[in-house]
Amino acid sequence: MKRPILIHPDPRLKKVAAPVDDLSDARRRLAEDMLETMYDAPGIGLAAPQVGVAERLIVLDCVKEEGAAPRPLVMFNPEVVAASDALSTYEEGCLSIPEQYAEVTRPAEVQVRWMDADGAPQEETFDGLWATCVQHEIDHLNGKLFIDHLGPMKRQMITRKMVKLKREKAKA
Amino acid sequence: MSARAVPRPILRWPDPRLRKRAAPVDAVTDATRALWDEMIAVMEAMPGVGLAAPQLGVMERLAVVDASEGRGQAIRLANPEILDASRETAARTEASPCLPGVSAVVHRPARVTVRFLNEAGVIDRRDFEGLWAVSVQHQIDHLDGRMFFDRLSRVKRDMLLRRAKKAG
Repeated sequence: MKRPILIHPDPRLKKVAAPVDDLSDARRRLAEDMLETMYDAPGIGLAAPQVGVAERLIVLDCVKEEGAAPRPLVMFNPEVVAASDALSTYEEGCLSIPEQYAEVTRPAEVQVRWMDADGAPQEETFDGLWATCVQHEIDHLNGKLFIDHLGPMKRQMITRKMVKLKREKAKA
Repeated sequence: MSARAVPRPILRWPDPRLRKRAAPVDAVTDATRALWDEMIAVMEAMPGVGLAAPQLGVMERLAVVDASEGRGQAIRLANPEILDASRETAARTEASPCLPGVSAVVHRPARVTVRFLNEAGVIDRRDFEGLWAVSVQHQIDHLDGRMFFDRLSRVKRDMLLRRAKKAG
C-alpha cells in the first residue's frame, strides 16, 4: 500500500527518529509500503519520517541500469561506521522537496551497519550513488534534509518555494 | 566439534515431561540454533507442521513451525507468547507424534499475533492464520504442558485416550 509523502517544511521531518528495538509483521509491512511508495514516486531512497513514522528505518534501491535486477534494501537502525576521506559531489533531490535539486558534497565511500527485516545484523561498504543515497536517508533519521547542507540563502529560497507549493496543493 | 549422531526420540504420552511447563530461554545462542535445526529435521521426518522442544525431552520454550505449502519456510521461535487472538475460531483436525494413531477436531482462534525471540535473537511479532495459526498455538500449548486433547470435552478426551491406548 502506497503511503503519502510529507512535504517540507513539516515539523515531523525535523525530528530525530527513535531506534527500532524489536520487529513485527507491522514493521515489515511498513518497509514494504515504503518500497512501493519509493518505486512509484519514482525515487531511489525513502526514510520512515518521510511517511510520518518517527522510527529509524530506511529503504533504498539505487540500481539505475535499464533492465538490471532491482536490489531493494531495508535497513533498520542504519549507521555509518566508517567514511572515506575522499569526497564526492552529487546533485541531490528529495521526495519531500519535489523538483528541487542542489549539489551536496559527502564522503565518497561509507561503511554502513544495520539490522535487516529478520533482525540479522548486516554490514556493507557503499560507493557512488549508493553511498550518497544511504547518507541522505540516514540524515532524515536525524531530522536533517539535504538543503541543510546548503548555504542559508539557497535553503531559504527552496523552503519558500515549498511553502508556496504546499499552499497551492492545499487550495487544489 | 562433534555432532549428535542420532536425533533425540519423540516422547510418548503419558511421559510426565509432556505435562511440565518449559523454562524460558535467556538468549538465542549457537546451542539454541542447533536445537532448532534438530527440531526441524525431526519435523521434516514425520512430516509435521510444527514441533516443540519438550516433545524431544528438552524443557525449554523453543518451537518450530512450518505450514508452508512447499515446506522449507520454517519459523524458529523462542519464548513465544500469544499477544492477540481473533474472536473468530476455526476447527481443524489435530494430532501429535507423542500420541500416534489418534486425532481430533479442535477449535481455536483463527488468527493469532505471537511475540517471540527470532533466529537472530531479536524480539519479533508475527501474525499467523490458517494452518500456521493452528500449529503455533498447538506448539505453545506443549510449552505449557498442555496437549491438544486438553482442548476437548471430558467425554471426547477420555474416548480419544482410550483409543490411543488401543492403538499404542
